[in-house]
Amino acid sequence: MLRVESIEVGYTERPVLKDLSLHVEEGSIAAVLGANGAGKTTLLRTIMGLLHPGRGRILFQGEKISHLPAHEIVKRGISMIPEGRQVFSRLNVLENLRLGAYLEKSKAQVQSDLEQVLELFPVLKERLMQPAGSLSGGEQQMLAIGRALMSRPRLLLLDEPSMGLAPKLVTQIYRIIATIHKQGTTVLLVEQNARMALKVAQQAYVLENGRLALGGPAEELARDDRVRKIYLGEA
Amino acid sequence: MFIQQVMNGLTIGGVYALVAIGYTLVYGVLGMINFAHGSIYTLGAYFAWTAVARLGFSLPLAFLFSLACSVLVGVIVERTGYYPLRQATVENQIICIFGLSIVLDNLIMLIWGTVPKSFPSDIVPDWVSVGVAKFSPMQAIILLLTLVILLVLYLLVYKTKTGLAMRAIALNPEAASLMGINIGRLRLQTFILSAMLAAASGTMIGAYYKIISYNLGLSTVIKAFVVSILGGIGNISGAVVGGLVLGQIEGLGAAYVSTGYKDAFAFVVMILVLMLRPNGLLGTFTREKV
Ligand SMILES: Nc1ncnc2c1ncn2[C@@H]1O[C@H](COP(=O)(O)OP(=O)(O)OP(=O)(O)O)[C@@H](O)[C@H]1O
Ligand SMILES: [Mg+2]
Repeated sequence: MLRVESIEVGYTERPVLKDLSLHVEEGSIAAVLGANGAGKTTLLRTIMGLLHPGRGRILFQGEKISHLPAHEIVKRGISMIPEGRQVFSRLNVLENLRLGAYLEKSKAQVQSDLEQVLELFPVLKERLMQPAGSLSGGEQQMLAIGRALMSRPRLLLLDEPSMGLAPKLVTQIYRIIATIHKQGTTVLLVEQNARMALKVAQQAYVLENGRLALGGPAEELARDDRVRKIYLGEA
Repeated sequence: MFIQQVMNGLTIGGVYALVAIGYTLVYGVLGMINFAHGSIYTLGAYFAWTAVARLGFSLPLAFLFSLACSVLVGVIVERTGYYPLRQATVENQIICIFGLSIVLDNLIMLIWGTVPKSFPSDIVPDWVSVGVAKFSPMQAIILLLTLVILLVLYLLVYKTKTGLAMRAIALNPEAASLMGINIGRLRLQTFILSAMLAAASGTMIGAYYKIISYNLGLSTVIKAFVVSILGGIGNISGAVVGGLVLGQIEGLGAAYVSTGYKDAFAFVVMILVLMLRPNGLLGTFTREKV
């Protein structure tokens, strides 16, 4: 479904991602692991069209998308939950969700999507008129996920969904990710928290200093000595 | 006398508010102060004057003519002054827009000259006496028109999807683009809207005072800037409050202190606000720090 072909991406002269290739199968969950500064966010931002690769290309369902701006990427069915959630804090929950459905012309469709999202996140239902900035971290993460789902993406990108959340909330968020996947959305998620990510993913990649260090089925990576030592914190 | 001064203040204040909203919208959505706003305002007045004095249009038609021309001006200024520099540093953006406003000002002098132009005095009756009270039809028209424009703006910004997208961009442009919003297009549309507001205000002020000159925009736009600061830059309702407050201060100050100091009041107010409430009376509505 998504193919990243030897891309090179940077903010300055020095590239942050070097000769990076990976792919995500339709209907699967793929995880990208890596330490701080490995280039995980840069990868997702490049897929979303917020950055453009100097070399290489990105294909989505066979079409080259790496030259397109973000709003065109969203139109093609990819949606991202950005690092740090980035909800519109002064807009209320309902307005945030409506913005997620910005490209949807049919009001009836927006309404039914809204109902589905609120079913998935009942806490948001009670807070529809509250400014997003007044929500707790966990609620904001749910709003960010719900907002991304409002565009009914075929591929969902998540940038560290567990960041800054209590373990119980992390479990809850991952249960929701599994539900979204079961309902037919392909998922690419980026994590420092390797344990959860390797549990849900089928395919996993390890990023080190902008290069691909490892890649393969998630179960295999979970057994890999280096992964266990560095990313799972096992002796 | 007092009522009359309040009415004068209301009329002028409303127009200040419209000019200030133009500023505020561009600042919020494009992230940059529009230094060409005054030139577009002056251009609007000259378009209306040309329509009335040269083309023989009625005043309402001239108003529409000026709005139509300002759309074109808005497109040209945004596409030459803002869009190509959207990735540039703030310093470069300021220099570019400032330069563009100088070009526009000189263009105005080239086309219409530096001698002030008068509107034909018969476009609207000046004052109508109703019993002991005198009232000005032009003032009534301006007040009504300002009110209608404010209402339309309110509905646009707070009740439509486009308005929601504008507010989202003002808060977080990158997150907005992740919603599928075409930021480039919305910025152009916002700039056009702001140019139309400037032209509408320029036309109203031109028709109100019946005389315009190439530097018409200067003092009004500086005052609208004061109004934006007063209301909190980026804050639409703040601009309305700020406009009305400044209009009253000016009107009453001119009547009871001295007309000569009329323009000075604006700056005293600005300095006081910057000293006491740097975020404006109602606070800012600008982007979030992330
Ligand atoms: N806007 C930017 N300008 C310049 N360099 C940047 C910018 N954003 C990120 N970088 C650099 O790119 C590299 C990769 O950053 P990136 O944010 O992609 O890492 P990450 O894997 O997401 O890290 P984290 O786990 O901390 O979120 C880092 O060295 C970072 O300093
Ligand atoms: Mg990151």
